[in-house]
Amino acid sequence: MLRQARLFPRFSTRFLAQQRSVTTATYNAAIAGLTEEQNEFRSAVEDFAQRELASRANDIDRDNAFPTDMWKKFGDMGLLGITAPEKYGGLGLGYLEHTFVMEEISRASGAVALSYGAHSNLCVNQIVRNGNEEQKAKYLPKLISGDHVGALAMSEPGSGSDVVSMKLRADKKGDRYILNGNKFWITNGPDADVLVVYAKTDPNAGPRGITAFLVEKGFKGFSTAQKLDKMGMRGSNTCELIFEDCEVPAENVLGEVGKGVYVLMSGLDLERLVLSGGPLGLMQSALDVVAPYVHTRKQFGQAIGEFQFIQGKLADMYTKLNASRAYVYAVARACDRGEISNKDCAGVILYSAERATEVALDAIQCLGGNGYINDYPTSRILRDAKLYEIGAGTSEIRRMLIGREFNKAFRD
Amino acid sequence: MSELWTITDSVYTGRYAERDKSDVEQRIHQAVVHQASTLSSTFKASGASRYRFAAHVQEVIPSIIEERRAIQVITIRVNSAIEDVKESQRTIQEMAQLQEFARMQDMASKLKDYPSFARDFNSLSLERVRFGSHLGRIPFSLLYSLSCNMSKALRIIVPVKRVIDYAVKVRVNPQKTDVDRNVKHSMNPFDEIAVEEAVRLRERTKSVQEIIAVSCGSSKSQETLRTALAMGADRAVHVEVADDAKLQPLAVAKLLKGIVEKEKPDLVILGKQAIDDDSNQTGQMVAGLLNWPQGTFASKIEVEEQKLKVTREVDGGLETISIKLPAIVTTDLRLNEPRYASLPNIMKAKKKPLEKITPESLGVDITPRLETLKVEEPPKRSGGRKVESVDDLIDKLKNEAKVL
Repeated sequence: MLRQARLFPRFSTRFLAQQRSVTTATYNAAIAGLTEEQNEFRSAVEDFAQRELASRANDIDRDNAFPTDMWKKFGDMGLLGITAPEKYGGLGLGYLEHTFVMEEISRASGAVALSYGAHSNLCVNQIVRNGNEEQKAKYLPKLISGDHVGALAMSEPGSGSDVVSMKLRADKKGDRYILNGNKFWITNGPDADVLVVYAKTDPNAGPRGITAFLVEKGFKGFSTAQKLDKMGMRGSNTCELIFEDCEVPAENVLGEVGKGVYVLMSGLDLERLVLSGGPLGLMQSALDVVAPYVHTRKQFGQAIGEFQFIQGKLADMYTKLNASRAYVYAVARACDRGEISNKDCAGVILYSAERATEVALDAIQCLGGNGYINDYPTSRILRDAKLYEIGAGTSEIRRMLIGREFNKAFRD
Repeated sequence: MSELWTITDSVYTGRYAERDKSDVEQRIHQAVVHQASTLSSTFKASGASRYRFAAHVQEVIPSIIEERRAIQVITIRVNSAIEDVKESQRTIQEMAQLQEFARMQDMASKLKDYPSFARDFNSLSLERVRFGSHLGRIPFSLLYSLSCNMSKALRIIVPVKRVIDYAVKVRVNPQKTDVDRNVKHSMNPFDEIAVEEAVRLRERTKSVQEIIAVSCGSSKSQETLRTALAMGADRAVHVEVADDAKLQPLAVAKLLKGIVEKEKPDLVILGKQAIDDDSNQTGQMVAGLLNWPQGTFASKIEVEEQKLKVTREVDGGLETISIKLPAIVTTDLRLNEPRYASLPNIMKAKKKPLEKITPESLGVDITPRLETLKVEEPPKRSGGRKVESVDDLIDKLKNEAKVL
């Protein structure tokens, strides 16, 4: 026995660190409608994320520290350019696969997943979709290898849900644009090397005056301000960006001048879809914690999981997760077929985000006193989950978007 | 191996034949050149380096036949080769017997079997190349290409087993005949270490020609093989058995022996044991069946010419042994930390060849030799207790635990 214990330190510590037993995995690939290949793909990411990331999630949350070293590991694993063409180092796969990766990273660490989503979808995928050949060749390889961190800057202190009201000015001066203003709540802001930034090139043209730019960290006049102290998603660094006569070469316009709003809006649909993997992963993580716990914890001489109230909670958590997952995957498959519905892209994150908060609350309740202390991951899951009701459009904006689509279809 | 030698043999025999019967020369020439050009066109379709080789062959053969005076020199060199390179003796003797034209033609016709020819070409080991150099000027460009590309060429077989994942809590089935196998499976961690080591040998020494992953088991073993391919193996061989077939170490060892005889690797590297049955037998049995040297419980492997320096984890510490190739190595936990199969490599692995064979094709009877009577879970750990004194402890060990 001793010899065995000595010979298996890695496996046993890994196992303990995970604090989860996979006796009966709660991820049901058959119900999720995954092909064997898709499940193999997902399992590989799961394995990687559980082994490399899950055990660090608590520290990342406590220290509010972005794990810079993970980026290179993500790059080596091939996670950073799921939807990017192979010639830039990407995998050339679809949004469904991207959602799997988002989900599995989120299952290990919600915060790192958010940064991952901002990097791989908001930044990388926007460059893939809108960049010209030179821009792609210049920026994508390093973003995909993990040498660079990417971000996207849209919101401003006075411009959140009403994003088109942004104030950041971009004035053409010779062969460059001069940017003045600031951006707020920018995920990966403190760490980013390359940022997609929306600014007004024509303040009087409303939505048609918005242009997207590719800004590098080292550009003159660009700086970042205080890192924000957030409730959750701690370790996914967020900050304010400051542009003081920031010089951006004209060739760094992403898409066309004045067409930034198309870049922005079409990007938002796919952003909402891919980010929906986040709540899915958090719900899965909650279930990973709760299911074994309630079968170990005994009260009144019985595992608490055998009590009907807890059975009811488990059933609710499980069904909410699988209903969300079915919707997210269905929309992802549709997007991969080229059928992008902005109503449903808003729908998947609206639905899954709110379910994730509920499931996280149930998880805390199932763990009772232990659920309320930070030695257990449940409070982190709740704090992380809440972000998805706010980031990438609030639940209210998403409902409005969906309602508006109905209005458009049925209005006389 | 043999087919490669056929070429050299043919060439060599060609010279003998030429010395003895000049009228046969043209016919040899034609036969060989014809074979080589057939080969060359086939290789052209199957890859540049092979094509290059075929081109070499084609280019070399006519020049050989023209070099009449070299024959005497070569005969002397062949004789010295016999003394110098013991491993090559048998081959050389075979060559000596290959003087008859008819035999030569027969051998040349075997060249048609180019896939196995290509494998054997890759498998050329150093002695054989050294031996080849004794042949002097015969295959100049051939030898050059061999010494450039193949001088320390190792071909490695890595057997891998699909087992219940290390993180799964194993449960006994209600009939107590087996454990519940309807759970997550993955590659045996020690085999993962073996695959990793093979891939690292290639990265470290650049002398690994091919890594072949082998798995014996149900169709699901292919998942495990794909993992090995994604980690860096070049191709896979799956010995498929029925889903409910029980494979015991002896049967696996015999299957591996069959594959080794077919593939002729220089090294077989596998986990010291599988984490499901913990037998720790397969590697040793393969070594025994093949009569190959073995380095078990390896925590470090270094390649030295045609030898391996293996550091073994033994009870008293570390033991370092030197073994001759071909050899069997079984891996211990501290040999390396296996890499993850990255997503791009997982995707590329789907395109790598996976060959399916059956135990019957290897002529192996896999019938279990051991019978499982009963499977039981270990007794649940009961709580500990503090004792007042040493005497108290001894008393409890004697009278309650009854272990003294």
